[in-house]
Amino acid sequence: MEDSLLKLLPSLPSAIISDLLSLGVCVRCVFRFLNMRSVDFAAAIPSCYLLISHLQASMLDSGAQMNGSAEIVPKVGTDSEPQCAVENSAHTIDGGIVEPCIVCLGILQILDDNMHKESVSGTELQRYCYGAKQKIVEAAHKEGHEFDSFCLEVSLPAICVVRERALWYYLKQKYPEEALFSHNHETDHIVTLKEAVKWSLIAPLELLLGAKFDSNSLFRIALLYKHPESLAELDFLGGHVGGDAKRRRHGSVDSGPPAGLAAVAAARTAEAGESLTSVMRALATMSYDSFSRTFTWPPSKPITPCELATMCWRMPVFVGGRYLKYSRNISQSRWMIDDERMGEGSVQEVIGDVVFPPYKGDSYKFHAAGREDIDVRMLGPGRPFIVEISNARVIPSSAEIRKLERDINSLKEGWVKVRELRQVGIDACAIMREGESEKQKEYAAVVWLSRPVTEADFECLSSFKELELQQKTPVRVLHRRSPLTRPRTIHWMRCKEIKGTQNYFVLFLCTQAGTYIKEFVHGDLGRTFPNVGSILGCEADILQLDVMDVKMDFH
Amino acid sequence: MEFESWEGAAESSYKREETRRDFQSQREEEGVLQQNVDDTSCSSSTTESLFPYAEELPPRPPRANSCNYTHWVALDVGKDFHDQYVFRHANGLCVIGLLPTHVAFKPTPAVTAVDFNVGKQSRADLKVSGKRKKNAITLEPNSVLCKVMVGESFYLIRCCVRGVLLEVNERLIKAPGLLNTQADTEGHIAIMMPRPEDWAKASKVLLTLEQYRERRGL
Repeated sequence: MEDSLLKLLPSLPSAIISDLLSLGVCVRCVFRFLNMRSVDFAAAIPSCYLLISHLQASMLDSGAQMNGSAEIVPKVGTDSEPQCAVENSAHTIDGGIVEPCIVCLGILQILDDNMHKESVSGTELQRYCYGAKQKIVEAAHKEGHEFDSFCLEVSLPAICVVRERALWYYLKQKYPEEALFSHNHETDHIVTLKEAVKWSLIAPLELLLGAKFDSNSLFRIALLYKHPESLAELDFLGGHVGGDAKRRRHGSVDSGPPAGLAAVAAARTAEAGESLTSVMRALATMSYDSFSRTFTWPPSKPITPCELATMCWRMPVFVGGRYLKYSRNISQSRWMIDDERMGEGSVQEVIGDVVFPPYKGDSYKFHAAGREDIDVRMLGPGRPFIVEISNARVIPSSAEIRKLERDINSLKEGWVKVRELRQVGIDACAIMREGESEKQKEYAAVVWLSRPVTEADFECLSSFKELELQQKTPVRVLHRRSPLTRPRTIHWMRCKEIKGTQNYFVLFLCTQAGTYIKEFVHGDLGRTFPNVGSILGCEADILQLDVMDVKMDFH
Repeated sequence: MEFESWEGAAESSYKREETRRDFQSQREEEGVLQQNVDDTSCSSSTTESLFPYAEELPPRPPRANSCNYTHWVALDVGKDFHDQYVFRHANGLCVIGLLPTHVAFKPTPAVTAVDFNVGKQSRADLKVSGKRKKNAITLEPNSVLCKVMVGESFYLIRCCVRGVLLEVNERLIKAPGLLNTQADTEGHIAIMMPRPEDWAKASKVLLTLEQYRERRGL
């Protein structure tokens, strides 16, 4: 037994401990109800037999030394109840058959690896006793996740908090003088089950996994404890638990989680958390009387312990950069019409095909700060983008990511190039979404006029500063966008002649996000006004367009 | 939504002719544009090579009006020489307007007013909103869109195709003269959204530009 625990023993209320053990409360739960926060839950926990004998020994010691406490000694020694407890618990341990704790339903008991595996003949118990830690370690490695930190998500069956409440009322009733149990509810006055599970697991898992525990870690280990047997026990809460919580509870019984699906695992964890929260909310408002009418204490002995399902996944990781597109026949995202590919490929696929595989993730999503038409090139410093990879097994180093960038840039087609490829945080997504709708964009358009271009035209166009357009939803997108007139600003325009031509020139312009440039040039049946034609008093058309800059700090 | 599938086709209509693309790719392969990848900013010397030389340019680019739309014609709508066009965008939307041979333009184009106040409610007062085009009304091919006034006489303009009326060209109320000068662009009458099956029906009745020229001896 741990030294620290030995030192604590004399100060513990031995009668209560014996009582709890005889009821079928496990040692860790005893510690929890005595609110023993200084005990190392991860250390080897003594069997209840050991605990009792030490308690008796320490009491005899103190009894021999102090006359005043001699009274207690015979009480422990002669009272039949604690004696029975010793026998009872000794029996359970020696037989290897651990009766599930009446409070934690075995959750804290199955944590220990040193359950007498060899001596167990009943295979069912062997399954439960087979160390939960090994199970977790196996699950963490099963899908080949590489990680140097991890976060534990523990979801508990709601029945455990109900049983905690029942035991609390039992203790209050039996030991009305005991200061430990003077509060109305156990909430905040015992070590919670979740705390106990984490305290018991974190240090050993850090050792076994060779990784640090970090509550912000993207690698999640979810421990889902279920106790289907006790679902009926919760029904007494009836009206106190919302109908949806009930439905969810029942729903979760029949559908086993498909392993390896991060999203499903996350949803299941959240779901379990919700049902627990709703039960806790119901308990918080429930009076002693109404609880006592429906639930008896001490809680009955469960037949089976909780089942543990372990699921591991990584939260999404993000790779960001800027892309350039030199082709007028490649779209940004994969674009299929009736299973037929449009264009020669997509920026998304060119980048995703290189970036995604090394992460060994489940799937990826491509996000960019706005988009250009298929026939528009993306030049200049490029357009910011993010690849979101869900459940990555591997996180490449920054050197490896730089190599991915070189791999994309050396593709023989060469239509798409990337710059500044690197891993980014989730905040980059918000920055990009903002950039999509709020940042300035620069374009270069090759414009044709129905009459020869003059120097006066250049002066006219470049004299406009902060020109406001009224842009009706262009006809080409009117079928899918709301019909509206949107005010859009053209911050500035500059012109450049194309030597040897009369009717063509290059128009450089900087506009507010969301401005349709092609429509500003040809006027879209006069639905964008003013437009280049209306300003110059002639017909205008656009031959080609390039995006020259998406003004955004994205590093 | 049934129109969603048209989205792609709409944008592909901007595709340029093969020859241009080939030229582009050739230059890109030569590495003219490659510099940009390494430069963090786009220097002006680079942009100079980004744009076409005079000899590569077509005499004029395809008109937005003709490369984005297929042109259809309805002759004698309701009455003789009430000739109207239906420009159908690749996304399925139809622009309705008057052809130069419309009787309102004879002997010379002299439209004096356009009145959308036909039917129960003025066509100009319909405020269609949202992606799902709430408040839009569905009109029949022979439903009246507006009255075009030439002095004291007037001509009824009809839909030609069954569909949802998305908008009418309100500028015509204040500037009816647009009909006289640019009837095929800024002087269009309305934009409709037919269902694909309604369009299939309508396109059997409508004429092509060639048939139109033949019939009117243009």
